[in-house]
Amino acid sequence: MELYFNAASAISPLGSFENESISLQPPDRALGYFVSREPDYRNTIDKKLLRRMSKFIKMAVSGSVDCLAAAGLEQPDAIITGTGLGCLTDTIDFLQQMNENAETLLNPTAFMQSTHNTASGQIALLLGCKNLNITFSQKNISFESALLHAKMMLNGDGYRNILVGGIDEITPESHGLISQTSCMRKFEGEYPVTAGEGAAFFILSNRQTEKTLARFDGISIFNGAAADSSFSDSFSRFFDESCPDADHFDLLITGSHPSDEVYHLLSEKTGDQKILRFKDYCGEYDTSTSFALWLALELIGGRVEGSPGSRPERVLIHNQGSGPCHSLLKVTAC
Amino acid sequence: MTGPLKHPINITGTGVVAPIGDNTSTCFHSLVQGKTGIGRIMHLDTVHREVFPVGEVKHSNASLLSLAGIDERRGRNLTRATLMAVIAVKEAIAEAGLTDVELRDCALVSATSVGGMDKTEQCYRNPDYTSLDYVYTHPCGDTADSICALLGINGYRTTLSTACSSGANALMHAALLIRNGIADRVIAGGVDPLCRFTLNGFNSLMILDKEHCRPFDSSRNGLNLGEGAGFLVLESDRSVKSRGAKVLCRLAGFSNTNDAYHQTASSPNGEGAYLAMTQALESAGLEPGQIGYINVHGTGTQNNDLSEGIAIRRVFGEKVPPFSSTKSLTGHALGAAAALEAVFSVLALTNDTLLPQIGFNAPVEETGLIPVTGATKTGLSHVLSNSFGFGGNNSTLIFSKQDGTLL
Repeated sequence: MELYFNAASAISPLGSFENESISLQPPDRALGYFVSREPDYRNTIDKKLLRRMSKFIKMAVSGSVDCLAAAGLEQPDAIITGTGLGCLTDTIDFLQQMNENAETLLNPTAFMQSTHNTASGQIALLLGCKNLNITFSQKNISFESALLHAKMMLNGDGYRNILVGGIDEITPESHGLISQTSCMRKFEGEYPVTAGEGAAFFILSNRQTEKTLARFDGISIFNGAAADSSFSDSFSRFFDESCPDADHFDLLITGSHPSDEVYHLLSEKTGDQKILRFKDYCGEYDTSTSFALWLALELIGGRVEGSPGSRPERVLIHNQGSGPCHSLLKVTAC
Repeated sequence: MTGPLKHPINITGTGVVAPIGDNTSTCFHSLVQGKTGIGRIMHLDTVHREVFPVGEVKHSNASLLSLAGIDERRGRNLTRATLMAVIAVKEAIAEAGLTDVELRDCALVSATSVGGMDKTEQCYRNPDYTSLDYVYTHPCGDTADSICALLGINGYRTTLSTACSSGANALMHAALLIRNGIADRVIAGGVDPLCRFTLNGFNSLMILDKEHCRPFDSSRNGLNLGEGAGFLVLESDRSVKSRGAKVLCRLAGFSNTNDAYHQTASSPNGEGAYLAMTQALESAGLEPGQIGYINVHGTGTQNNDLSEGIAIRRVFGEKVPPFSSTKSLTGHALGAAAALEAVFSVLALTNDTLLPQIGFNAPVEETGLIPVTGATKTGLSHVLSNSFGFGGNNSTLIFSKQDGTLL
């Protein structure tokens, strides 16, 4: 069954939300990491509700509302999200309360909002949407799992439009901790990559409409831990199986870095097509593939200023994180 | 006898670690005896130790490590969640009779609400810990990665995190992987450790009972927290045929819906729960009257049991099947609860036994529902299990005997 992305919305360090067209300019690095350029949430969320919401929830709810509006939908047939680290602000808040107050007299709000499915639950609450509502949390393939679940549901009966999103937030504290470990890939020098955050939402549908942005041509996940030969051999095999038509792509959007073996492997496989390193614009975070997908749809739609070359028609998205898993997504203009 | 099942998924193995036993046979024994695993806190370091009874797995982490058969050197940075999960997964694999080669291609779908939080809360801002090891084990996905690395599982792996219904949603994702031909064999379940984070969280919500919990009782006054791991091996028909596997029963139906009422409270008419049960029945091609036993969510809170009871009445009317809350014996294991109860539901079904609960005296006035209080041998064809969570998350699973005719 053919699937289509019929709407997309992102809140990201690139400041993608309220502008008609976006410009590929690297965001401000002053903090040492990228933060989302947040819109005026009062346009999409009730002021009373906003006060209690963390950035995680605000980005997710606002992104979803905008995405549904763009698709002209009141309610999706399912809400599926992915997040690597979940609601960090509320989690850290409750941990701190627990430490500082010696486990007594704790305010429950942060705890209530700390579960990874808070965003998908809040979206359902706001929309009054009683349909399927699930959240995946598997490090750098959290969004990929969500997308795969949506794809599988759309192959079944009775589903038409599914809201799928990826969300991760960064806080000064979480950045301070994570950046001291190899949980996050960081690069300095000629092609610096720093931590980032964002939320990107999509309507995935089995119906093409006048709003369709692109066709979804599949997702594949590679588990590098399973490699029984060298990385390049096993990744190569995986790539050839997933993309037998690799030379047809006219843009590769990758989360890998020029110092990675896979970067050059991909470049070779796709016939040295243009390569866009998307983490230059959103930073490194678990669900950054959702940003890459949004960027691909914007490029296909010709809504990006300063993008190199002509509008691409067939885009291959590759991502990886600190773990062994890589993902490939294919989208085609239609 | 049974109705036509639409697209059942085979279950060929189960494994469990719970406060009432370290494997399926001891758990089943405790379940039929009504032997509780809830008691005074032994292992968790908290100021509430003397205040709240909990369902603790009766092992220190060191003892779990040895039970899991993991070399101490490899066990250095494993969380309690990973240790419990490995024990349960190993039992499920052994029962299914999967070889190392078969295991290598399996997918693994785990579920958790807090994952490595027990370690995070010990180390975070603690001057006695300088290591940042906990940053690696904090993500929910760490357990799935660690299980795969320790047991040589090399397929797709992922983790569901939808609070207290997580384990049910993991089985649902696993079933879709099989139906869509993405995997032939999936090990799916869930795990959650007891930790101060959740104990204090539920205490701040004022829904922990200082006594043993009393699900569906008029005097119920909150839940007891629990912990554990439950995993099942799910297989396609093709896989079962090719390796001649013995099928225990089938996952015949499932549904996830949202109550869309409140972040943590259930709606007064149990709408989300009603929809989850109704849609799960529909997905299995069953009528309400064909369900022989319900393993209810039944946390013991005022709100859940009333809302769930009303939803059950809406689905089953006057003919409510025998039901019980095994949380009266295990406590509420949050992200693992649905997975533990999936294993218990399979045990009930395959042993043709209604599982009793304890702590029941008088029914909730509004619903008049009376749970099973003594183990009863009876013919069972279909068992339904409910699991609900924060964020309005409602999931229902239906397990059926293999003899249900295929469409």
